[in-house]
Amino acid sequence: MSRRRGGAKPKQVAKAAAGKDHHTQFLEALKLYEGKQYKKSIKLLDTLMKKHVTPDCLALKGLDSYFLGEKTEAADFVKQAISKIEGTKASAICCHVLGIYMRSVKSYADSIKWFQASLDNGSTNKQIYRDLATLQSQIGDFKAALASRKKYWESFVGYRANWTALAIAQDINGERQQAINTLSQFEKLAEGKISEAEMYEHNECLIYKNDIMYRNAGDNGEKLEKVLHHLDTIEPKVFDKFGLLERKASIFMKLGKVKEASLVYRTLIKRNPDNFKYYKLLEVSLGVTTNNKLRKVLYEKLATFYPRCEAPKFIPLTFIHDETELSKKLSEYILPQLKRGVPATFSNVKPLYLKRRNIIPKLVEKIVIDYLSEQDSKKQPIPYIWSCYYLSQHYLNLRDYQKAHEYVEKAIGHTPTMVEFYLLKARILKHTGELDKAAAILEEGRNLDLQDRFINCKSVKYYLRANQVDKAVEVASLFTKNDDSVNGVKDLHLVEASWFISEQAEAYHRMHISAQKKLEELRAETTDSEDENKSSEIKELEWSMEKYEGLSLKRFHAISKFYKQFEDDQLDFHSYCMRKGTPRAYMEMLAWGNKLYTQPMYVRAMNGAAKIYFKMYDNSLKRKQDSDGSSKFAEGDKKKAKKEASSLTKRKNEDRKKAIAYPESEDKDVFGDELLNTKEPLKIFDSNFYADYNKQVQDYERNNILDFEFQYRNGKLALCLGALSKYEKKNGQKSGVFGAMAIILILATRESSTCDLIAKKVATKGLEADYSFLPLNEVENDSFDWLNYFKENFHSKDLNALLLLKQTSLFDEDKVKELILDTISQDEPLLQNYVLQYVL
Amino acid sequence: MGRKLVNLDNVYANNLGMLKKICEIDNPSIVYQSNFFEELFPKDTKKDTFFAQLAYYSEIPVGAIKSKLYPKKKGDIYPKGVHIEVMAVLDQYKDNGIEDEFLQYVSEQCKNHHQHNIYVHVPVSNENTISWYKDHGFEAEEQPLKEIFTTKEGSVDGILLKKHIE
Repeated sequence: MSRRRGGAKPKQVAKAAAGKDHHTQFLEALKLYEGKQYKKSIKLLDTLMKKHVTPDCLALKGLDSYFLGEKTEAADFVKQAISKIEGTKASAICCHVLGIYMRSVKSYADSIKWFQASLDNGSTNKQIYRDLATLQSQIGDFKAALASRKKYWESFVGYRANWTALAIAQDINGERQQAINTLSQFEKLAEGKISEAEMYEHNECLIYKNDIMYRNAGDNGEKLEKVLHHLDTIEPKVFDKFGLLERKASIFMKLGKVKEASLVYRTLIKRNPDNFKYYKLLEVSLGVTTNNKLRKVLYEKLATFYPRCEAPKFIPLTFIHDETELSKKLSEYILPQLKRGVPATFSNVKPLYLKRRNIIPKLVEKIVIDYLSEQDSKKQPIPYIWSCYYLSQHYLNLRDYQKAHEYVEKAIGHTPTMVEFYLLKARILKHTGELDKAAAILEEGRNLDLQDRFINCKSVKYYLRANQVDKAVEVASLFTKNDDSVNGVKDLHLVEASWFISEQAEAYHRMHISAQKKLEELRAETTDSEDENKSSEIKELEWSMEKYEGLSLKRFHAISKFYKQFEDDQLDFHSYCMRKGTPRAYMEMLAWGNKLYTQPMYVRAMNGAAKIYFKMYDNSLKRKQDSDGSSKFAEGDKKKAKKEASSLTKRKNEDRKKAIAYPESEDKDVFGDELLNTKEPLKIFDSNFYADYNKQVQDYERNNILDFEFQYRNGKLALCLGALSKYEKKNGQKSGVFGAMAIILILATRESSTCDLIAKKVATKGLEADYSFLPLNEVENDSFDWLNYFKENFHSKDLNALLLLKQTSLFDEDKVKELILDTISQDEPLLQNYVLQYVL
Repeated sequence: MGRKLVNLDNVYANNLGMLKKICEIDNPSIVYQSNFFEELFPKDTKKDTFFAQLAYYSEIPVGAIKSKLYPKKKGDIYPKGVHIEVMAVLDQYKDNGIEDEFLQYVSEQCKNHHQHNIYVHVPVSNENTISWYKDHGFEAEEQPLKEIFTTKEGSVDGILLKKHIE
């Protein structure tokens, strides 16, 4: 970093400043800053600015203040400094200082601008190029990064890191041959001079060069031979033998030398006989993937070589068709595990349940039931209980909840001290929708073993599912650091426990909906009677409703923050990986960074936040329509109101302690009120959640429904059309969601709709062009029954589609409700309850 | 290898729940005093000495014992010696000699603390248990003690059994 540490130790401050000219004194202030003596630096700058205020002084003062923690003041000084600068015409030092400031506040684009300006304005500090390259890599401007890397490399050719960095930058920009040359050139320079300590770095660079060569070769046989040759020459120096062998095998495969490839795969299996991937690849190289007879022989042979390994025993179960034989193999696989009491037996077999649902469960059921009947519960307790456990999971998988329950009860009745059984029992109860009971069962299990972190987490999760947030926090806090707070919520934020935070967010959201429903009921009851108890109850509920919604949003935002932090964490590695010589890990990190915002947890938080933000937006529209709906309730007795208010404030303060998630100095908005009070819910949603997702998500994994909902509310009908057609390509023209989207889009092109005229035209044109079978002529026909059209022409039993229709409030609410109820009537109780309680 | 199938181990604050569970399952009708389990891990520094163990069958907790040292006589009911307060083994694991191991354990503790008598109270109706103790060298006192057990149905008389060790 260019913030040099150490440096001179300037002890004399302002006193000695007299007599020197302005610039020298400024340099002294700079030195003080570099020595981390920010206060002294500011003092000196203040005396300087009495005479003459320059942007240089202001910028440095800003930077000093920033490192003293006075962030708002810092921003102010920097703003003043910039306002005094015309464009980027300032001294090189000033620009450099501004660049450092901008980097500190994470506005990387601005930082790049000022670093560049510093160089343009005559800075001779070549270190800036390295900082520049780092920042350019961080914002993904690899072309510029390459230029910076080159400049830096030219100035400091004596360091390996600079060669590696240059090669990586060339590789990323597609200049593979140049990258190879760069690496080769350094190898020549370093030949014979590599010390023991540098061997690891050297090996990584060698195999990285081979990576590039391999990618560069494509399917070109001649080039591949060269890559292979290179691989052989570097082999003794390379540490990653797995990587080396895998590479070798894939080159052989590409060259069509299957015999050689198969030999390499056999070597790999020998090195790690538990990696399923190698077996699959061996099959490919032997050309037996479609010949089950040969495959069987192969695995029988392999099983004798590796008798203690899973893979050769398991893989045949995926392809044997003959029932008697399959049954025999299954017994050989499952029963020894049950005999030993392997808790994960079912998890081991579960992939087969999914893949071969028609045959496997049926056979296994018989095998295990027969086996269980042979076990004496007293003489062979271990196989007995684990067989019961297995069968319970088996029936749960088949959604036969009653039988699942029966068997888990049998297991618990036999051995009530086994924590696993309680976990399973709770899971079954969860599926039957009895969430409170499930949480209670887990708690019973948890009390058996208080030091088991796993069941602690599960217990927390089930409490959250049952909306018992306080209890959940209490249990979770047993395992957190609770130094300066009443519970572990703050610590769970600090350690980025996103599983907890997302579950809590969702629980709060459900509680918000329940409170809202209750409130509505209560208000309906008390329209005229001035019942005192009720009014305080209403106040209480109002507070709960608002609190829960705010907290839910707050928690979703916390998750978004984590991911932004993850992205930001990459910054250091743009230089660290070069120094440590780990180019392959660096490339992996970049690939990871490119799909960061499509990770399931992020998407889950986004979807949760979308529900709240979309509702906020819809409500704001409704409020515009009937702006006089509020404040129906007369002001009661003033004294009483005051008392109520004070008790509520007390409540709030208590709640505040429990809900606080960040140190008080960093975050004042504990309950997320500020988030709720935004005037632009869609914009905030975009900048905090959607934009990042939209940038990274691939078409195949995209949530088109969310796209549609978001753009529909934005009035961007053309983008809605895009989401519609993408969804249609994946799911067909009969799918319910397609139908729902199409109808909503058609109705949005009505004259009465508030959308932009051009947007409407684009949408109409698009629909006419691609989906002319839709009843587009009926747009303005008020008597046309769209809901009926939907029911008759699409797969209407689609919950997502119906929810989409419901949200628009364009259709008869009761009719949509009826359709939804009909749709979920066959689903499991868990989903039914959820829809009944929180959706309808 | 050659690991024993049944092992005894100490009770810790974190698995006290196991002890509690086993006792409750084994004697569903008995009502334990409010502090009966928690007193093993007192919050204040109490002087009472307890000997408690869990028995594991292939690493599954299946049996529990809790006994208390009475260094001095305390009324007629509690003579000087080690008193077995509860000894429980899950029904399905009863034939594994776990009780014998427990008894062995208590005898050792007895010796270590220079005691010569092991006592146990058993409800008069519980004939199986009484005969088990008798088979293991215990002798019954003549008179049953009135209403010393609390069950869900009410109070029950108990009989005091005693074993003398040198």
